[in-house]
Amino acid sequence: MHFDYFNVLVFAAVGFVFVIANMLIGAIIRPARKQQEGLEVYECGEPTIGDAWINFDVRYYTVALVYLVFAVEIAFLFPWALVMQGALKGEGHAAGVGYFALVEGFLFIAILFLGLAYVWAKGDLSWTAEYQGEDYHPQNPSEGRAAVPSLAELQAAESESTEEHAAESESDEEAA
Amino acid sequence: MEYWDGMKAIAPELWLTGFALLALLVDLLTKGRNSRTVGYVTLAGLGVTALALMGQSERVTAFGMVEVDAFGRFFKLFTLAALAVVCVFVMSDRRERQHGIGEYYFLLLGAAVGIFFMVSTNNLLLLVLGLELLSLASYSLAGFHKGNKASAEAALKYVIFGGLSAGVMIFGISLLYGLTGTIDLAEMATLGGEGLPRGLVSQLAASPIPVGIAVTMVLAGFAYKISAVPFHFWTPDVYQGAPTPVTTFLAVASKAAGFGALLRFLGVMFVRGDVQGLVADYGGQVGLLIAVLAAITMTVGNVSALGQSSLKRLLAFSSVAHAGYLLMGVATMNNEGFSAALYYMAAYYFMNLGAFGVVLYFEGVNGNDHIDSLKGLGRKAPLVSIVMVAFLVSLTGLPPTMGYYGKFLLFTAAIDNGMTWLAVIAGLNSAISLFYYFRIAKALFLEEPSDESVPRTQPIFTGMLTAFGVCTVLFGLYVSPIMQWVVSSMDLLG
Repeated sequence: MHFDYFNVLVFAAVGFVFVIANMLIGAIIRPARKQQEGLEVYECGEPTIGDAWINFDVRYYTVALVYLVFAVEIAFLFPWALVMQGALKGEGHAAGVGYFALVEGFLFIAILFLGLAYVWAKGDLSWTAEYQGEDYHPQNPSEGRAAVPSLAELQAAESESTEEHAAESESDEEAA
Repeated sequence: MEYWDGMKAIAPELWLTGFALLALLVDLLTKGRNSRTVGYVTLAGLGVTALALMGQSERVTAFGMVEVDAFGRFFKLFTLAALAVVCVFVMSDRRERQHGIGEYYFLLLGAAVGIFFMVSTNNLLLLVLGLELLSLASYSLAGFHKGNKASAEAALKYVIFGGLSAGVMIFGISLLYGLTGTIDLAEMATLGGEGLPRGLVSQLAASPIPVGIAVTMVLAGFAYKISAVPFHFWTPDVYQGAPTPVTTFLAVASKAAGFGALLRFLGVMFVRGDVQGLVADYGGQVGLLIAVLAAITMTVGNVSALGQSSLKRLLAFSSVAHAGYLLMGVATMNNEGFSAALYYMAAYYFMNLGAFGVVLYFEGVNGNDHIDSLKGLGRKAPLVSIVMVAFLVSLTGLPPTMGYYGKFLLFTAAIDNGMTWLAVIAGLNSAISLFYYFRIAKALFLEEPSDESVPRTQPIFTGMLTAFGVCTVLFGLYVSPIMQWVVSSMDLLG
């Protein structure tokens, strides 16, 4: 009776073998050309520009999060609108809910709107958001400074990276 | 009207949600100039919610999903009480700015909403939803100091471990749904026969292996929330990196919520009076699995705590060890063990909130949480230091404290249910824990201070800590009020 699940085992085994076999066959039959071009990142045949490990602008994530507000809204409001008529007439799946459904739908929109208002008030809707950290006066002065180095500090760090690192960590320890 | 009755039943949750939105709105309207206002709104919200909770007495099921019962109420009041203390911690934190941190309170309230739904549902879908709400708020809270590297790292580790465990847990739940045709725990355990939903009985009769896999996977999600081995790896880093009030929240409220949901999951599925014989027998085997998990968890937690030099890290491993002690009560799979776990939870509330409060105080004095920097503070801040010793005695499980009586109940429950080996391991572990807890006491009282500076006093905060210390000892000597509350809360299995 335990062998009812034998086919699951077979399925998993075939999955593993498939991957390993393909990698093996590839390793055996592909030509080995160890040139610089072959080792680079493949970008649709174009020559690559810079490194793939770069810092993306944080605003992309902000926009993605704001988008989420509307995505959730749409995902919920479509089914809500579909059963609305039935709810008000008292028939179908939503029978007996009545005006409660109408009120709750608007309550839902209001709550999501608060999310939008929050983003708006915090200045994340303007594409060139101002830096809002200036009035941050932590009682432990080292904390705030470590977060946002000034431009001069960054340039200095770039020019003499190794020495600067040693000096910085020392000063951090002192502050702590 | 049916819907209004349902809304009345979940009134505490609605109040909490309303106050969370109000906190956000107040923060926006005051433009974050004084976040203490938001803190007071939060405290008011917690108070109103507690009143709404205490007004409930009958046992109902709202919307077919939310179970309103005394068991859930225990954990909800526990959460509110813990959150109120965390709010005071945030307001007393000397290293935290007191403006522009309105989100702090909003996230705490949001996490509380998640906990409320998590501990009071037999519906696995709502359980996951509550758990995720709690997790999402906790992730943001752990990384609240965005500029601080340790805090950001803690948040990232927490997210990755959390995402993995939640994924495993949801996979387990999907297996349970596929096997039994229902996502309601009570139905799963009680229904039998052919056709859908066919219940656990016929599935166990056919083959117990898929049920075992599914239940183990679901347990993984709980083990992560209560930081039981082998899902404890996030605990030390997150506890150390997160702001101390958040650490307190994670160690007390979040862990209690995990235990509440775990007890309900196991209790309704395997232990309740109306489950069928085959399912209850299988529950005994799940209990054995949890007993092994408990033994490993407490041993790993205590042994790892021995070499720690950071106070928060030490308390993190100590909280792993305490998860092990609590699991000992869960493993018995009966009313006695579950009640013991509930009592120990109450003890855990006082001693752990207190200990983290003292850590917060010492951080404000020293600027760090190294045990070495506590040297001689017993002379400079005598009251807080003496209170800290009370918490340490209770954490070790020595009389005359709540920790002692809680451990006594847990050990008795384990021995009564034929798990003497587990009680022996727990006893040995308590002896190990004595060593690292008293390293703190030694640093406080038996070593010379490194300088003559006198720490600034914080009367309200110190007073609160003292009250916790007094409660830890008082309720350890006079156990009946809390014991009565625990006994009346155990209506889960009835």
